[in-house]
Amino acid sequence: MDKKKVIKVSLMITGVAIVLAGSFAYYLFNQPHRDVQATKTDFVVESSEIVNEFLSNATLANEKYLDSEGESKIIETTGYIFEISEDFNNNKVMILKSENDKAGVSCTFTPETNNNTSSFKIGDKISIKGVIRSGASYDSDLSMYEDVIMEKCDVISK
Amino acid sequence: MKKVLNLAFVGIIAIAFFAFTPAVNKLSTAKTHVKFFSTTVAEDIEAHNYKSVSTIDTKSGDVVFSVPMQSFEFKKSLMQKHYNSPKFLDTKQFPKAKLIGKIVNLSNVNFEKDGTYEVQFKGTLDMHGKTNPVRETATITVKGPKYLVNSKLNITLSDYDIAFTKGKPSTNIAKTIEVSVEAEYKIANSQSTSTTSATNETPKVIVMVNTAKWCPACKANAKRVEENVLANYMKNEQCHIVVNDLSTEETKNASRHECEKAGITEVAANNPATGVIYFISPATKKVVSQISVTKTNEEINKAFEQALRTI
Repeated sequence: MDKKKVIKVSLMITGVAIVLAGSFAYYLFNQPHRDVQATKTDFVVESSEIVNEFLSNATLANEKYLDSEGESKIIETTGYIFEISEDFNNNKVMILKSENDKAGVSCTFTPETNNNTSSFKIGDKISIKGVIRSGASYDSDLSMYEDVIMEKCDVISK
Repeated sequence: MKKVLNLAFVGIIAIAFFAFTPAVNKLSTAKTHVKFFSTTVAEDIEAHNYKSVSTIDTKSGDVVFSVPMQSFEFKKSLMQKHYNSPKFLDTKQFPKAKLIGKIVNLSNVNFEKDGTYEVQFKGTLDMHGKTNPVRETATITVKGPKYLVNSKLNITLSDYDIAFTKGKPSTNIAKTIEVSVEAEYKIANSQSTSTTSATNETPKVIVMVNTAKWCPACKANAKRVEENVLANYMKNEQCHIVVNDLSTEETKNASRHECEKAGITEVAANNPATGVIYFISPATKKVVSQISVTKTNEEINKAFEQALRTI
């Protein structure tokens, strides 16, 4: 190989490397959000159970359910509908809570899944899949229990 | 790459309306929207959160706003990951941000009257393990049984130990971020907030007050009965008050929801007379006695005590 050829090959390799690195960076930058409903469920848990996990030991529960980059655990929870409402985004919000529970699980649906809630009413038993955002806790400033928060929810038929 | 950061909010106050709002002193909401916006020459970045919870004490002016940090949604998933990561907001370590404070000019707000009021809020914001003073202006719009609050505040990221010294974030994220807040409050009672009140005991008697804007007897007696009779029932832990407002389709729907929660949907449907106070047994869901609001305070109280004895 003469010197010229070596330079040519190195340039080509460098060129390909730059293109690959660039594409990868571009891919990362435009990476779509995780599709919660298409992602495998991490935990299947009754609404009362997950609430109690947070109330009895918040540190342990945060460690178990929350992710440091915000891609927290995907939960399938079952419970009784305590309240149905809508948020400022016109998405359905269902709170699952049993009578003796101090807090519930507040689940927000999406424009794609809102309609799946239409046949349910207060008191019905339901199973919901979504991503957990924060746990339940008693807040002394609010003088209230805060619910477990789940978003990007859909109804699961069992 | 990008990044982002931060947040906060504010809460506020309000109240009001016609006939028989039982002496309100606490409003609560889980219907909220917190948005933050960062603008630099390089780019604009925004994120939205719809899962905050807030309360306002209309007597003391105390405001609390609790924000679940992982509920902020960005357009780009990478930005969202950076925002959550230990380098920035560290939302696993600090899952909530909290604003606590007081409305300092509470007297500017007429909770009894529909309208828009401007208030000054003074308090602290606790975020990312740091607490800083916050002072902002907000508006409270009283509209029937709803109390809408809007506010904007600016947050300096370095105050909360969110610092970018090098790389793109230092040029692409503004040093000060604009946070806007909207929230729709309702009167809180032990059963009407999505978040559960700490004292959620089963009442001994349910007091259903049927009222309507168009009912002359309601109008004529509202203030007297509210201040002298219902206010006392509110303080009574054995008592759960449901205001069944039959003014319009909208208020009927809201009231139906309240009745549903108290488990008295059927009783309410069978007893539609306005200007009447019904005393209902929570166990049997039957009316144990009823009395017109045109009666004297003493007569109403007597009916109440009798109802308590019967149940």
